[in-house]
Amino acid sequence: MTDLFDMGSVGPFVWGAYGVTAVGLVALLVMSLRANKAAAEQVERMRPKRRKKPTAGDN
Amino acid sequence: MHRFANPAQFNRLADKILPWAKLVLAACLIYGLYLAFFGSPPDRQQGESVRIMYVHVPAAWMAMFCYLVVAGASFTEFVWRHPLAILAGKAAAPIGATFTALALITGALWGKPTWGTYWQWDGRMTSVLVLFFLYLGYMAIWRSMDEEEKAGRAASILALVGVINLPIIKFSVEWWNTLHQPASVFRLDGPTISGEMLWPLFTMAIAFKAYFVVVFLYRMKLEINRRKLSVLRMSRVNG
Repeated sequence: MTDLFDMGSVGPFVWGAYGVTAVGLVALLVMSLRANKAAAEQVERMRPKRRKKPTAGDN
Repeated sequence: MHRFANPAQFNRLADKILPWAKLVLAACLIYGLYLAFFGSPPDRQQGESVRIMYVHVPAAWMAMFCYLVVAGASFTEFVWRHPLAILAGKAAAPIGATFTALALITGALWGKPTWGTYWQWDGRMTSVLVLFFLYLGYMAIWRSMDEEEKAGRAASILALVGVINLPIIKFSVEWWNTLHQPASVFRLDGPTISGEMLWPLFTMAIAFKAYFVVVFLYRMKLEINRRKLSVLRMSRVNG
């Protein structure tokens, strides 16, 4: 296990590269999902409400 | 092509593609990481640091691919005035900028143990840095103008002019004296790297491509929602 992390003394470079990649890609995905969710909710809030069809019980 | 100009139709298509793209992303990422760490040998010269290649090279490929998407969308908007084309460019640019930044950072982390330096102003690295600035410029234009149509036009012009940088990136290793090795995968006479290294490389490349599809579709939905919002705001202002 130590060998996997150490990688013949280049471990910090290898794990650093994979770590930066993971952080960058996850951050972009999360930001995109959150921004889309927020925009969709805002659209729903601003969309004019449709009038309820009058039913037989309504006066 | 104008069939998918309808946002509702596009959203329906995106909802059908997304689960499959996520499945491909998960499968290729897990298998690619397994191959990268356990299924491929260390390099004879570079040792274990060669494993950085499995994220660096696909990120660099995606950086160029995303720029092609941005430029293609800009061209489509100019020629056919496709209403979703300009949104496609706007949606792809942040993904391309992220991949370019990752290619630069992982390249620096690979360069230090291999060449003894994080950075060198050689043709390949400098042209990729220029690509990063092109993405930043494209996104800055979108943010700096209030009128969406004008911003889209200006950003598209920059994107189309910037296409000249793509062959420079590709052939920089042949045109100039550089620390980078010449092309070893996409060559007319076939790849020169071993199959044990090609498999993890291509698997990770497919994973990155699937990631692009997922994030691109979500960002397209975001841009469509933003456009809906601006229409709703305008209609409120106009009573």
